Amino acid sequence: MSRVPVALSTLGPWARYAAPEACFDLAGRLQPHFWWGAALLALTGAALGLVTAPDQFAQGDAYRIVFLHVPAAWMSLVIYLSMGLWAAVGLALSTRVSFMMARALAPTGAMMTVIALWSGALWGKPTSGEWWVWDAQLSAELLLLFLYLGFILLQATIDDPVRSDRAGALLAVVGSVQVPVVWFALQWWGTRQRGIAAAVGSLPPMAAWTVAGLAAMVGAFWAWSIAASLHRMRSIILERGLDVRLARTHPEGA
Amino acid sequence: MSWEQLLAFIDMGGHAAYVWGAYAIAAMGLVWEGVVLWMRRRQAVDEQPMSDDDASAPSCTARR
Repeated sequence: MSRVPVALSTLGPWARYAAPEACFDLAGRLQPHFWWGAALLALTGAALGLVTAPDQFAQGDAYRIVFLHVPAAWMSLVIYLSMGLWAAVGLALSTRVSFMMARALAPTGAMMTVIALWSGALWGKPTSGEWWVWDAQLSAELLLLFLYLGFILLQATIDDPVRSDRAGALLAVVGSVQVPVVWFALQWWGTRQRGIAAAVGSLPPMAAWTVAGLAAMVGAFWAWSIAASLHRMRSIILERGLDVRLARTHPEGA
Repeated sequence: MSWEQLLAFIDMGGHAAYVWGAYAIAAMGLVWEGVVLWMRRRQAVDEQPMSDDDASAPSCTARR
């Protein structure tokens, strides 16, 4: 017997979800709950953030972009870390579902990074006077976007799924180093956002409605990311099943 | 909510273009992702070879 089933046995009851068919079913059952959760939390967060939460002393209403920018920026980091984790599990245990999950997460992570960068620019202009500055945190976030795009393009350009999965996984694992760089850039090098953070930090604690709105939007972005990734993973499983059937029917791969 | 309050809300303290622009970009991005997801799933299901099994279920024959 190969080492793979032995390694999978360490996962206990979760090992059954290493099979694409079991994972396909589980994702199908979970997905609607996350879609609905994302919609409800987004509506709640937008209502609290745009209407109920009081404006902010230093930035007026421009700070309301925080309800979008912070969740998107957090998710851009969390999703890349998740990709790295799934990729590492895939490399260690040779589980196809792990590679598929890493592949399914990438487009959503790239989307979150784009939203974080755009909303950051739109927040930065009225508060610091600049659309963009080449400081450590913004540059690191832009590099994170390139890592996402590199992952997607790398996997798209390799026809063999096994090699494609492993090459992408390697990039995801190595690229995970970038996540703490983005997170700690504020403390390590200081950024444009230091001024914003200092301004916010000098104020009384955030109003309860502001915290509630931010929490709801963070929840919405989490739920969206999970739902979209599960949805995409089911499509990947279907596509791979289709490929194999075609390959058996048409050995030339036509 | 009065008309003036509504206008003030839309104006966002003079930052309307930034605030609504950020939300519009995010909404467009998420809608775009949703459409792409839906189209990809539809294509994957449509291209599944017909069998006795549920066409939307994975073939379970892939080994890669």
